[in-house]
Amino acid sequence: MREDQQFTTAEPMKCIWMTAGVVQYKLCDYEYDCDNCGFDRAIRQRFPVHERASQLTNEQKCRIDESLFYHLKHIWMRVEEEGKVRVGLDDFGQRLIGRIYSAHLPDAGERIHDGCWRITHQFGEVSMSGGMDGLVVQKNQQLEQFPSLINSSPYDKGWIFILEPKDLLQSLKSLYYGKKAKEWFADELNKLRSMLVESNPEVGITLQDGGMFRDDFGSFVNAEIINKFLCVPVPDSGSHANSNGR
Amino acid sequence: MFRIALVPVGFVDVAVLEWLAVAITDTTHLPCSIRKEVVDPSDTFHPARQQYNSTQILSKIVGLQDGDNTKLLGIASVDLFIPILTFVFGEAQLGNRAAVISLHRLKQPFYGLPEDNQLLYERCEKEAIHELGHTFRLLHCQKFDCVMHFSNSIEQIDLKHNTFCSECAAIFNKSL
Repeated sequence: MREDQQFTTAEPMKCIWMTAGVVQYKLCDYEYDCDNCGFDRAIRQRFPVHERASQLTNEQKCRIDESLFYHLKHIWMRVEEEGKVRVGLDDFGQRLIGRIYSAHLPDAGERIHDGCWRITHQFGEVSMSGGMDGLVVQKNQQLEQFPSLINSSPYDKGWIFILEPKDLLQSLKSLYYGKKAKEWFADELNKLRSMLVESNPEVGITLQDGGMFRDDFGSFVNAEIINKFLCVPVPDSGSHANSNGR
Repeated sequence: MFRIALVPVGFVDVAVLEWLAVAITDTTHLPCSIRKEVVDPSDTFHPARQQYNSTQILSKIVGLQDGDNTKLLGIASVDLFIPILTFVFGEAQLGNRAAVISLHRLKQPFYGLPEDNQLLYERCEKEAIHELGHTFRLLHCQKFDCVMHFSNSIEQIDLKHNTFCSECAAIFNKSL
């Protein structure tokens, strides 16, 4: 290891822009959390060419809103007024599914259970998780006419339903949030990446460094992969019959 | 004992090849040479993407004759891709003999910055060691400063060292 690359806690952390030779001297104040660094943002805006390259990759990244809670089947949840919870499909989920042809949503008053809503996509249908136990208060009626809102605006106009949770605090404990959510997202992307890399018989298993998923990475997936990440087993009909009680 | 052979893929600056031959030996303590013949990447070009298919180039490198104990590392100047990813800095057979890296996105002018050969050499070395590491069965490492850490961007390459962390070094030494 070269001397200038020794990295211990006793030594200052050089900003990546210093290492890249863009600025003469700048130490990192954010423990290399560049996404939240104002200096990093400022430098990227200063160099239009680099900024273009950067925007391109950002568009091709799956976006995650760290202010939301996430169920491991890629359902996001936002706690709103009076403890109600807005539910949607995250960006990873919508990209994986690709073009959504229709969304079958539960009606107001229905009890949330696994498979309480379904999405029809190019390979068939997938039963989705409801995120947490509770009752549906309102569904997004716009999705009946415009299901692709889930694709175009997964964290906003493409929300699925609002629910009244049975036990909000307890339910939140099992969900990903903040840094944990970000790490889980990265793990999911890596898992998908290893599933999608085509195996070439002459070359065998390979590993790559670099690159982002293409924006159309959904066109490389199949029903089996979609189900692996998103599908939940639907419980017996008796245990989740349409119910207004808890 | 293993040895490393660098294989030019298309036209590659000889200064980069010679520097890599020395740097790889310094880091891995394995002898490294430069092969005379050049692998032609032209039939792996994808016109719509304006990039070259990395796995197809790897397949050509696999076909080169050399001893069983030789790891073949292709060095390309052109931009590489695999179908699902926007680009790759490099690709390697896991626990096998062939790997390839691209210099295209390691150069500062790609990012609109002035040329910096020293930085290019350092990045080349990191990518070369990273891909060779895969041929010695090493997987991606979670430690951000280990050379085996996965990098989706050039900034992440600059962050990591040119050496293995202690766990990766142990696996590497065991597979020698």
